[in-house]
Amino acid sequence: MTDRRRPAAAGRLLAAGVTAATTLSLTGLFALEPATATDDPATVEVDATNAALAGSAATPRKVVVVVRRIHLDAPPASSAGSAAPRVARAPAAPVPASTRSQPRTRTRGS
Amino acid sequence: MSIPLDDLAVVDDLPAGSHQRSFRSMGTDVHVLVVGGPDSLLQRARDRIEELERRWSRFLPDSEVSRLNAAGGTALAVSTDTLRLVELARHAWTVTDGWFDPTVLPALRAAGYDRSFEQLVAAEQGPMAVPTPPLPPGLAAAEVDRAAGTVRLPAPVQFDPGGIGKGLAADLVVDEMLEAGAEGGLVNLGGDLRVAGTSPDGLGWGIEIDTVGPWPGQLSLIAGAVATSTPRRRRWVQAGRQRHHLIDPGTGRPAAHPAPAITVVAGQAWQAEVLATAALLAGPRARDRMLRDNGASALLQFDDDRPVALAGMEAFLR
Repeated sequence: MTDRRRPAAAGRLLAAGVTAATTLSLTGLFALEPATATDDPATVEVDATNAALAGSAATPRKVVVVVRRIHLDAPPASSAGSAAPRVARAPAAPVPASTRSQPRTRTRGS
Repeated sequence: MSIPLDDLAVVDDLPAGSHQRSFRSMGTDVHVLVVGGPDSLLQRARDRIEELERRWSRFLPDSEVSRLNAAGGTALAVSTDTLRLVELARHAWTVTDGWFDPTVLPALRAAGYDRSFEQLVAAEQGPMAVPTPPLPPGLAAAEVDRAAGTVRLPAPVQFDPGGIGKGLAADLVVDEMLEAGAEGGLVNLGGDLRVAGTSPDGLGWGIEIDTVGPWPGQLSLIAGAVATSTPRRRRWVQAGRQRHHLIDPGTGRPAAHPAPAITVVAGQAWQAEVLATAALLAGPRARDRMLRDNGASALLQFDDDRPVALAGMEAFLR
């Protein structure tokens, strides 16, 4: 794995219209940290082709990245600008507690 | 400690250093709980929620949402809160394939929900004539210009923040409480709930959910959000027929046979609200995909049968 793959993958995603602020997760192969430091909570899962990664000096490596799905917590692309979201510190998924806690509030349907 | 309002907040003695308050805002009961931080946080939270109500209520003619709906397709300058609200609503509409649709307002009015719910119930009987509902146009053509600070809703679009507004308000206020020095916080806006940080007992946040069947429901989570969608809560009579507020975007009419209720646990309250609404309206395959894709879990409830845990909900049930 070389560092050169990171900009390659990021470049593909950028070409696909995904912001560089996106966290990448290449299923089953390797994980990439955010291409640039950001508080953007967007998460994109991508598939990478094994064959494409198994390159050699004779056959330059090429990473093919396919955007599989964009999660609901990805902020939508604005018509202009990209101000930081107000809920940037929010968790991408809920975290269960390991113990039963005393009820602090009651919710109802709406 | 006695909490005078409603059935929403749990009457509960809190450890030292934790404080809570219940009040009415956004047409519903609000419960705010803060752990640590300065004493002023509860009042600041209330002020903030009331500010968001003034910006987002469709029942206040001067709210930003009311002005957007009346603008006839003209771009209007709005607050950053409203920019964010419309951005998220448009995004939610897209990724749920339109099952969450905040443009069902004309269809909702056609179904008789043409005033605040308190007034609707007091009237007891809606109009006798049932108009043909318009099909919701969706939010694809809504424009948010962050640089200019404007939103433009195309003329047919009537935007109703409803649940996503309450969920986003809970998210904003909890995040702002933590930024202002709280160690933990809970905001429950009529069932759109978000928790973050340290709970009063340090063990996690216990949440009691309203169940439609004879089953107790309690969740425990370290961080995240909860929302329940049900056609049972907001019901009224129109021309002798029972109506509810869950509009099927494909028909413009109240959904024919939705499940009695679904409770969704997600990372943020606006997500939980969006997913709860969409999951109740969509078929099982679309529902399960939406939950899975968004790291959310759900409890599907029935009247006479045990609830069904979906997408890992067992981890949150206690």
